[in-house]
Amino acid sequence: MKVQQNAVNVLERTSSYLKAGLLKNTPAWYNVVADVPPSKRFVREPRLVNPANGLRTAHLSDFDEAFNSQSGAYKTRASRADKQGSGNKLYKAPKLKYAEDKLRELFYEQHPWERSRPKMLVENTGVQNYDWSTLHQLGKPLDGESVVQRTLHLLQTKTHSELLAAYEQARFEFYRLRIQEEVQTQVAQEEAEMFGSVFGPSAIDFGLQKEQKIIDIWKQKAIDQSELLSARNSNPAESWSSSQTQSDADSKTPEKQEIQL
Amino acid sequence: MFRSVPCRSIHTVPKLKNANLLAEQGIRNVLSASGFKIAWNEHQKNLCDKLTLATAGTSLEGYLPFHLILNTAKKPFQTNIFNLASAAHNNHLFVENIVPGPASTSPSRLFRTRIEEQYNCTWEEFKDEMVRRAESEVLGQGWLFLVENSEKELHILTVQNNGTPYYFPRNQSFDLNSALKLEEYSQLDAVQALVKKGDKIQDWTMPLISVSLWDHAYLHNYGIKGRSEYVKNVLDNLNWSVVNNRLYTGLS
Amino acid sequence: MFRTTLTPRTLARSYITPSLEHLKKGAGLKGLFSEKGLQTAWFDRAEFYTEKLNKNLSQSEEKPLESIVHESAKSAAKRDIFNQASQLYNLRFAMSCLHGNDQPTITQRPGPEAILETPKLELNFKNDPKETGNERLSSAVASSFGSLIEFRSLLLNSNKAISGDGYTWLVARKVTASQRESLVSGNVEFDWLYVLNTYNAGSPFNFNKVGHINDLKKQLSKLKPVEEEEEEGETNPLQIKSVQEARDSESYKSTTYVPLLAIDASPKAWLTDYGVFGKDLYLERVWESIEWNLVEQRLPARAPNYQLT
Repeated sequence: MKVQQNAVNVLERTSSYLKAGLLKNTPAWYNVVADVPPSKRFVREPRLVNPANGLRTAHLSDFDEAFNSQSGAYKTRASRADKQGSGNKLYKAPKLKYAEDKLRELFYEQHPWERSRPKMLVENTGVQNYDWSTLHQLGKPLDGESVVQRTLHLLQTKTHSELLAAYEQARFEFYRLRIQEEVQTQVAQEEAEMFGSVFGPSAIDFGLQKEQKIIDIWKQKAIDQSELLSARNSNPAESWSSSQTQSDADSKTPEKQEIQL
Repeated sequence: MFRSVPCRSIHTVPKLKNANLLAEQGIRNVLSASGFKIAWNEHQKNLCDKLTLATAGTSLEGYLPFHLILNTAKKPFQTNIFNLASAAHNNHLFVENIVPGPASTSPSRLFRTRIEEQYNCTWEEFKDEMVRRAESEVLGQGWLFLVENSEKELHILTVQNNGTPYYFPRNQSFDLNSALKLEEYSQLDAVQALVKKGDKIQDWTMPLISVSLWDHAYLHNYGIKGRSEYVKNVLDNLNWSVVNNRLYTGLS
Repeated sequence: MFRTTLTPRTLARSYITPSLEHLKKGAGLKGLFSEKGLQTAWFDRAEFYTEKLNKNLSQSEEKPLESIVHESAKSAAKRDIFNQASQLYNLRFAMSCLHGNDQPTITQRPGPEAILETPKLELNFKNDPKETGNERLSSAVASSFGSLIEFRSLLLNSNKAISGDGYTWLVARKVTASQRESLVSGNVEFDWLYVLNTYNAGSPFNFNKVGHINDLKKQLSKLKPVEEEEEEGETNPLQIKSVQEARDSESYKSTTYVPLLAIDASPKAWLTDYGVFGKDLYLERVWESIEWNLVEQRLPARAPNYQLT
C-alpha cells in the first residue's frame, strides 16, 4: 500500500492555497504547525538500546560464536531460541519504569482508605515546580503523591541512602500532618458550637427524615387497607350476596394481610 | 474582588491600591506602619496560605472566600475551612473600610438620616454605642459589624471568633462558655428550631462597617488595655467613600 | 490575694493583681518570653482582668477566685464577674506552670514559610517528665495516653487548633464515691488523665455547663404559650437528639476534673514574641518550659485500677 502523505503535507498545501489566494485568512493552527512540523519519516527504526534501562533490546550472535567446537561445524540456521532473543523487540516501544510507581503502589496498598478521599481530576495548566523539602505544598493536597515525592527528595538530598528508610520518614511525617488535620477538624467544630453556631441537620438526620416520610405514608396506607378489610369481613351482606368461592377468599385474606404488613 | 488568579487553587493576599504608602506610614490615627503590616500583610498571608492548604485538591479549591463561607457554613466537619475563609473575608472588608482614600470623606446624608430615623441619635452617639457593644460582648477575639438586613434596617452585630454576618446560624454572637441570659437562649433556640426544620434559610444581611477585634489588629499598637480606644479610632477614621457605597441606596 | 484599704467612708476590699514568684517585671522568661512579651502575656493581662473584676464586683466578698468561678458559672447576671474571674484564674494557672528553659529566647520571628514546615520526627523530647524525676506523673501519662509522644502531640495539636482565645488543659478525672465505695470522704483520687480545651472564659470546672442549658430550656418552655407545646408533641417520636443537644443535656453529668496543667492559646500570649506565623514555635517552647514538678504536685492519688490493661 502506498504510504499516505496527504495529512502530513497539510502545511505545504495550505501555504500554496494562501499564496494562490484560495484561502483568505490564515488558519489558527497554521503557525503552530509551522513551528512543530509533523514528521515525514515513515520508516520504522529499530531501537537497539532500551532507553529505560540502557540494555540492548536485541542480540545477534557473531559468526564466530556460531562455531560448534565439538562437531567442528558452524551453525548456519538460527534455532527458535536464537530467534526469540533477536528481532522481535527491536520495534516495540520499551516499557518505562519509574521508582515512583513502586512507591505509589506500596503506599496505596498500605493505606487503601487514602484512595477514598475525593480527588480533583481537572489539572492546572503549566508545570508546577514544588520544593519537596517540606511535605506541605501550596496548591497541592496532602496525599500519597506528596509522600512519594518527598521520599525521592530525601533520596536526592542524601538524607537517606536507602529507599525504604526515606519512604518511612516521609510516611511518618505524613501521619503527623494527618493527626494535626484531624484534631484541627474536631477542635474547630467544638469551638464553633461553643460560640453559638448552629449547623444544619447531619447527613444521618437528613436520611432518617426522608425515610420517616415514606414510612408515614406507608403506615397511613396500611391503616386504610386493614380498615377496609376488616369492614368487608364483618359485613354480612357481602358474604351472602356472593358465592361460596368468595367466602373462601375472605377467609384467606387475614393471612394475606399479615404477610403484607 | 479578592484575589488575582495565577493558579486556580491558590489564595493570595489582595493587592491594595496604595500599598507602598501604607507600608511606609500605616494608617494615620489608627495603625502604625508595623501595626498595619501585622494586621494585614502578615495576618492575611497566614489566612490565605492556610486556606490554600485546606482547600487545595478538593471541590472547594476554585471558590472565593465569600463562596467558601456560604458553602461550608452548614457543614460542621468543614468548620476549619469556614473559619479561615470567614476570617480572610472579614479582614479584607475591615482593611477596605479603614484604608484612607485620596480625599477625606464623611458619612453620607443618607447614612446619617438612616441612623437618626432608626435610633433617634446622631452618628457620633451611635459610635459610642458601637464601642460599648464591642467592649461588653466580645471577650476574646471577634468582629464588630454594622450590618444592613433585608428590611434595610441597620444593626450592630458582634461576632465571636470567625463568625460571619452573611448567614445567621453562623453569626456566632453568643458565648456559650459562660452563662447565657434567657433572652439570648431563646434566640439561640429559635435559630436551632429553624435550622432543624430544614427549610432553606435566606439571609440577605450585608455588612457596612467591619472592625477587627482580633489581637492581630490592635495588640501591637494599643496593648492589652487599648482595645476600646482602638475601636473608637477606627470608627473615627473610616473611609466613608467605601462605607457609603456599601449602603443600599435603591439605585442599582 | 486580698488587700484591705481604708477609704474615707467604708472599708472596701478589692482584689489585687496576682503575682507569681518566678515572673519578674522588667525581665523575660528565659527561652519563652522576651521582656516585652512577658509584659503583654502576663503582667498587663493580669492587671487588666483584675481591674475589670473589681469594677464588676460592687461589694467584694472575701472569696478566692476559684470559688467565684464555681459559684457564678451558671448565673447570667453574674456573667461579667465570672468572665473576669475565670480568665484571671486560667491565666494565672497557665503561667504558674511555665518556668522557662535553657534555650536562648528567640529574636527572629518565623516567617510565612513556617506554615509549610514539616513536623520533626524526633521521639526524644527535651523536658521529658521521666528525666526530671517525675515518675508518678510520667506513668500516669503513659497509661492514660499510651505514651509521652502521643500525649505531647495531642496536647500541642489541641492547642494549635484553637483559633481564638482559649486554654488547653491536662486534667485528672476525679473518682466519685459512687464509683468506689471505699473512697474515704475528703480524699481526692483520680482514675484517668484527659486533655481538655476551654474557649474564652470557659473553665475546666464548668466545662460541660451541667444543667445550665436544661434550666434555660425549662424556663423558656414556661414562657411559651401552651398551643405551641402541643405542636411540638406532634413531632416525630423517632427523632433522636442531635449530638449537640445530647451533649448539652446528657453527657458528663457527674464528671469533675482536677486541672494539672494549662497552655494558653490566645494570640495575646504569643503574638508579641513569635509573630503571626509563630504559634508552632511558641508551643514547642512552652513544652520545654513546663515545670513538671508542679504538675505532679497537683496530681491527686491514683485510684486502684481494676481494669485490665
